[in-house]
Amino acid sequence: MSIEEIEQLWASQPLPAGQGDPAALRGQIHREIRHHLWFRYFLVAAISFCIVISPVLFYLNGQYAAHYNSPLNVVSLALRQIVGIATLYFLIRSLRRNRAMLRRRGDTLQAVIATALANIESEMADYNVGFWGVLFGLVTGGLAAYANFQYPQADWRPLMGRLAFIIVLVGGAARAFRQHYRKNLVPEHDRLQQTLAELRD
Amino acid sequence: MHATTIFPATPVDPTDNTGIRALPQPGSMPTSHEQLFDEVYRQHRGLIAKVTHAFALERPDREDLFQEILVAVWLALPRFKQQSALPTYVYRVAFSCAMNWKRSTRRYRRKIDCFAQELPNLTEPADPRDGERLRWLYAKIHQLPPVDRTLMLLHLDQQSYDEITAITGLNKSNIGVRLHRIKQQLTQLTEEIQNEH
Repeated sequence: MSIEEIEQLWASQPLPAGQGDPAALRGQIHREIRHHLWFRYFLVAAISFCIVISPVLFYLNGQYAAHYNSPLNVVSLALRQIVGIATLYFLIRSLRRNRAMLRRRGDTLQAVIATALANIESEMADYNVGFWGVLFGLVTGGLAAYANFQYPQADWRPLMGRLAFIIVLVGGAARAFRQHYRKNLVPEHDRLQQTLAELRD
Repeated sequence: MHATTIFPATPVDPTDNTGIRALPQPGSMPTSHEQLFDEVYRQHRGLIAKVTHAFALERPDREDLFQEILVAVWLALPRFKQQSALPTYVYRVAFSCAMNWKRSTRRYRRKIDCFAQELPNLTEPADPRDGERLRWLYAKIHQLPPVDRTLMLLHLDQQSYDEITAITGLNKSNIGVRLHRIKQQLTQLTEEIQNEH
């Protein structure tokens, strides 16, 4: 088959004009977009709420049980607030990356792939910081558990149980993040880098 | 989400004392986000379907990608400023979406009911032999690296080098060299198949 025959074959494709209802399709797209976004915005709202409500609860606890005002509890609260603010910061960065990609959608492929590559590099940098955050999360969780269980100091078993739960939870999350980094982000980064090199001659 | 006017509203004719704004003339540029989307759907749906067929081989994957592109087009249209032709803009969005597309089974299961019926099947022309040859051609195009795939598709769709440059960002000489190589590869493949038979 010559290239002319291939071109003829290509032209023979049936291209039915849109017969459906574009208005109905737009409605479906709206639902789809809302579904894409709601979870992220829910997370941002939930974490913001936790950051605001934690000091309030801490203060109220202190009003009814004096030992909640101990320095250990204050440090524990401060650490939890740091974790909350850091999580919020990374979530907002992820939303901004999405928005940057959206802004570029109608640009040349070269510009879009360059943005996608910059985005994935930024995400990988976030993950690298996040791996250290796991250690910080373990310390924070452990300290919170210890601060809550030191009164009364009768039995250490509940504390051990809670510490084990924190280690399993944070460790599991860290493992899932690590796998996502290695299985998805690294190959995607390499693919985008190669595509961009091809587009830049 | 309500309609967003992205172009200035049609000016009132000073000679017209009714004060009613003139309706857009048939064939003139659509003025709102929704009208633009409707035009893309009616006039350029085939273009999106071709990109979909070239970047995904299986029907479920194609439906998934087709949906992704439609959503991306809807989101990108408010930024269309008429600096390029509408099909060029749709090509850009479709290719950038296809190149960054990753199939998600979970999302596909959820979306299939909404969009599945919208995707035209391009590989079922009147002549069944052509259908088979088209499937083969799409499979071969799919085997090309993404940038070459894009160039071949644009060439087969009779886009000029200027338009291909506007879509991909590649320079014209590079496009020429690459297309020459891709055409050679394709014709060589067809010859090999014919020799086997």
